[in-house]
Amino acid sequence: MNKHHFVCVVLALVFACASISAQPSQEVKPETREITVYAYDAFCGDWGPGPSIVPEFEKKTGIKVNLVSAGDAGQMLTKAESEKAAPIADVVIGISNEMAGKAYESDLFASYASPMLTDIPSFLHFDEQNRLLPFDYGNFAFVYDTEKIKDDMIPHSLADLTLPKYKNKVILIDPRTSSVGLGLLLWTIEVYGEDNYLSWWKSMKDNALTIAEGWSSAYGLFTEGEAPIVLSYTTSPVYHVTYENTTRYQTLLFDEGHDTTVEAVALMKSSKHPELAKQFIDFILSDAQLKIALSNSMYPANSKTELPAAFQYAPKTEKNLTLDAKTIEKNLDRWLTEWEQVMSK
Amino acid sequence: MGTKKENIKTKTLGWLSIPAFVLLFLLFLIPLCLTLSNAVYSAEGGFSFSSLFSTFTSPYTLHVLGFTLYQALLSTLASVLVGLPGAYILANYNFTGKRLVKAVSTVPFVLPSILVVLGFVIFYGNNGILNRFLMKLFNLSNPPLHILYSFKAIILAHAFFNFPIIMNLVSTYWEHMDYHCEQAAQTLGADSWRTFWNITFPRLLPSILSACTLVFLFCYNSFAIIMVLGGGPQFTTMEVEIYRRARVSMDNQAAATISIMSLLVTCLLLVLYTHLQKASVQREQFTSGNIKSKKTVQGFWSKFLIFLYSIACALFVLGPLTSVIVRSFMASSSRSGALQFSLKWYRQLFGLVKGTGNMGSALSALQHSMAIALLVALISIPTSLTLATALKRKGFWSSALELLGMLPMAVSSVVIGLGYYLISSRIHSSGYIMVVLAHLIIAIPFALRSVVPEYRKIPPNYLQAAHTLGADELRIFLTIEAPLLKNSLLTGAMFAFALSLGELNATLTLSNSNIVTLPVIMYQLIGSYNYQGACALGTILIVISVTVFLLSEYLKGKENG
Amino acid sequence: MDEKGLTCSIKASYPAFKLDVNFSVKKGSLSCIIGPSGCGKTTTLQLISGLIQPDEGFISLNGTDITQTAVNQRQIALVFQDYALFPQMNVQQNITYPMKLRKVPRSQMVERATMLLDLVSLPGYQKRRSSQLSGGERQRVALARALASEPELMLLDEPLSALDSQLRKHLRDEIRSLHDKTGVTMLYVTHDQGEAMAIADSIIVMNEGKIEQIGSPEEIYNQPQSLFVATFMGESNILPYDVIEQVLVSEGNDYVIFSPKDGEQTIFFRPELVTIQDDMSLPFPDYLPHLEFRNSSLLSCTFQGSFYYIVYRWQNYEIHATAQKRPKGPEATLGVRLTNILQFLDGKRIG
Repeated sequence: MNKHHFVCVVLALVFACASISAQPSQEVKPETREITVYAYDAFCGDWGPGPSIVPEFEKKTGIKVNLVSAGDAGQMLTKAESEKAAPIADVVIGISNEMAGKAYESDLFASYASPMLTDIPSFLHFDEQNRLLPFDYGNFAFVYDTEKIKDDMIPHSLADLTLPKYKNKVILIDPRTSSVGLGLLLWTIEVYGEDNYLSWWKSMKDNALTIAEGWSSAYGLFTEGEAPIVLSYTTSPVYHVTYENTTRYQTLLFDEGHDTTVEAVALMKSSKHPELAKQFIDFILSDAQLKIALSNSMYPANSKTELPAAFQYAPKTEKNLTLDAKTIEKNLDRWLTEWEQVMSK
Repeated sequence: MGTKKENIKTKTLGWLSIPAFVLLFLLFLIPLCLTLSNAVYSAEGGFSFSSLFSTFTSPYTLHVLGFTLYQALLSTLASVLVGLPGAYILANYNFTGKRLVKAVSTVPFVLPSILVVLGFVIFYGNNGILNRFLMKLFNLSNPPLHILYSFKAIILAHAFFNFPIIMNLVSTYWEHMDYHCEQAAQTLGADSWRTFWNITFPRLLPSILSACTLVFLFCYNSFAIIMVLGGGPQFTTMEVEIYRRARVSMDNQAAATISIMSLLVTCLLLVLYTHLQKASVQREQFTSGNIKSKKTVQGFWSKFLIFLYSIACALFVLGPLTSVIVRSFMASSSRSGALQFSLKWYRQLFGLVKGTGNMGSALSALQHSMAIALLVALISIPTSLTLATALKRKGFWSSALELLGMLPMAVSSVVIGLGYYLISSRIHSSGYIMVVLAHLIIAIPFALRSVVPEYRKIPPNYLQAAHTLGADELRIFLTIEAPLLKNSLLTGAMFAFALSLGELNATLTLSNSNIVTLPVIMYQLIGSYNYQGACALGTILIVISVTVFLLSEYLKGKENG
Repeated sequence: MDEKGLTCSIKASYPAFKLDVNFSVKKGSLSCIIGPSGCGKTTTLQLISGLIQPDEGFISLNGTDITQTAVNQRQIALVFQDYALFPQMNVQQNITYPMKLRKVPRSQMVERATMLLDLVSLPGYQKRRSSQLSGGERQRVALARALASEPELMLLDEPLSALDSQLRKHLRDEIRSLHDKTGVTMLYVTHDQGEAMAIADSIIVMNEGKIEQIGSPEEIYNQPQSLFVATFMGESNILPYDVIEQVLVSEGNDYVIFSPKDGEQTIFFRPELVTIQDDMSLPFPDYLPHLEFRNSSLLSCTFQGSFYYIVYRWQNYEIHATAQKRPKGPEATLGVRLTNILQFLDGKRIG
């Protein structure tokens, strides 16, 4: 009898403790040199750049960094927005150009013209007010299996992929549930324009093997050999070269250009330690660039960064395509709906 | 017209369920309401129903809703068709390895759906083990089986994932049914088939319906399986719509609106279900003396059929699972990428060799996962038990409360995730506690589905007899009712353990990546090209869960002797 | 072997005992199997019904060998201790179930169900559910259902054990009258001797898987073939044989042979056959050979309603007796006629 009673009491106690220890966010005392940084999961986890750059920064400047993972980039923005009344973060890492419009609208971020910006090529600057500072970027591209696709079968453009000879050989990603898929959607709009992009998708609907819900599944299917062509990043082969010692998987560069995704770091307007935060941002844009690029499998924004040899397998495109942030924000929902209507028939 | 006995009101022990309800309320209802309230507050801050109205009447949304219900229904039927024979075998026969079968069948539950998808692909895919085997066998140049990337793949995967729920819940209930009814029917002239159909099946119905609701909700909210294995956006579900608006468009109002629509439908279904279940629960006699002693399999045809069924299930369940396991032992060593046997991933996992990225922390993740899962399983027992007391009595409130207990399963995980955000920033408590409590909430519907049908079976005579002997309600509850429910409680705890081990979303959201569990690491591995490492972790998860389930089967078995 | 009725000879082994029974039940009779708990009564019923299989032996019913027949084809109905009514069906559906199985047309089914309900004194109960019935009512529905299957043999497994004693008496008489009205062969299992003796045509006493004795109630009660049967069927007085030397009173020409044998020799007599002589002025007639136990002291006297149950001590032994009147004093002489004494050697009846 007592066993059950006991556990009930324990449960009540546990819950009581949880509630007791629930407190509204404390004010960080001004004397402590500490900042809170929100970043997306992949950044904060053991495998991401966070755990290696944070100690380096702390050692260098003596400023303590409280790195908080907040889901993916979108969730991060939502979280920061929901805390408007009692803001916690000083810096937010990982807002991408696709969500820039929403980021501007949220009015959370302060302008900061970091001195490091001079080392960053202009095509990466996507905010004249420098509320969002780019720290790495990548191009979406199709990656192929050299074992299965021989030289004569190599596609050279998006249009090629719709040819019958590629039936069930391509894995795409759904733009409604994945940022990579979204990148592809934008890519087709950039190449074909708003009036024609849907016809590409219509043809791909039957031609593609499947339209996966995210990059992980898509790439998983690819490496399992379900199909020899998959939507990914231009930097994907770098991983295989570095860790698997194989050049089997290569990137397909299309002459028409590739959609670019740029990740940014931003200073929160509400930050109580703007000077400390700015130091961190500068650090991200300079010393941390190499580590970030390697961990994230992206290109560093800072052009001075020296990349290891493996990065030669990540070909750089001449044409970095992007869409204007306002355009995206205004039309994204409509594009997705149109896409949905067409694709679900 | 009930007899006088039923109308005697025994004082309800409802107060016992208060801690659990407080938990549900604070950690679930409030975040949910906060999120859903976005539906009526537009961006400008005004209050309006227009968004709701337009969504409810949009033909596209209705079409999506229709498809979601359709695939969930078919998947549930498939699961029942596969699971019921298994329940029959488990309830009525003894054979060596029976406990192992029960343990293994619960494993799909533990694995994060992404690994399930991977397992499916490795086994059933166009380049999968099955196809390659058949190609070698019959000397074909093209894969003969095109199972995946189609509607039937969705149903197949759902059935794989879910038929163990039916099998386990129904067989536990079946084992304890009064067997004299079947014997009586036989002596009255009914053959085995009629006995089953007329006598056994109607009495099994409450537990079957109970298990079906769970499966239905699961399939209704299914995400990765449908999208990857279905092959395209023509198979869009409500969950996808919600996800799109919440994560990609970042339009909380739209997300909330669709969530409400989806939620209303599931609530309706839940109400229907509880009504059905209550109506069909007759006073099934709860006598432990009449449990049919289990036969050993006799007769050629029985043996043969059971053998066939087992092979089919083995292929079904073990196929994808073993694919994952086998995969974890493969690594490509040469440029061409041919896979060979290797312990590389395991060495990295256990820190023996420096691994890429997060492999090294797998051991600590293992500890975290186990600790959390054990806690969740343990706490689930008193929680589900106390909740069941409030649900047992008939009446409006108990129906409403039962609905509340089931709600965590009915709500989209994206929506819950959104809600968690809102509270996690306001509560600065140990990540551990939050994660354990969040897992508990997810586990409650399962535990309840296991316990409540059994609990309702206990006839009021028991309580009244104890009353007359001088025991008060609490005593009766603890010394008479609770022990009778031991098996269903253990089954519920087992599910809770499995769910906690494999839970991803809540852990990610609430733990601020301070607490790393196995699924979290798996998720990250998959997100960074390392599928084999994920398979290795998956294998470890499989081994652990099989061991734990075997243990619980032994514990259950000791009572029945 | 009686061609009509049930004949069975079966062997089966179990952890607790080895079952080895061989008996017949005349067609149309009501036989009782009686014995202590765990002696194999229920197992025997289950073997006969076909729910379990014997190791060896045969069972034949009305001339047909049914040893290999499936349960549902033996036409043997089984009534359980816990009634086993189908909870999802109402009373009428329960009763008509066997008729449904035999494809009886619907109108006939309803008619016969009504008739059966009348037979078991439950008119108008058709639509009730089993949860609404009392124990006695449920048992009667179970009986009606069994009868609805028009069985060749009806087995009843302690059908009244779950009921209170008043109801039990009432229902057992009803079962007897049901038997008489329908003529169905019945085999009834109970551990209550009173029940068995009241309604059975023939009693089969079992112990530890074996049959001790078969006979009519009077035979079993008055002429038990073993001490077990003797003590099981009613109150007993058991004394060592050599006591006779001390207490025998025999005049006249009756020549009683006192023959002690090797082994445990005992004498036995029922309490109701003991005469209490507590009035010295009325001695027990000497011309009837009897055993006389002088100077017995009163130990206890309990009032049973229709008689007194009295326990005396004589020397070291207890002697039980019954009487219509309370004994007058603390001492009395007890007498038992020699014709009422049974002899047992090592538990088995002799002489």
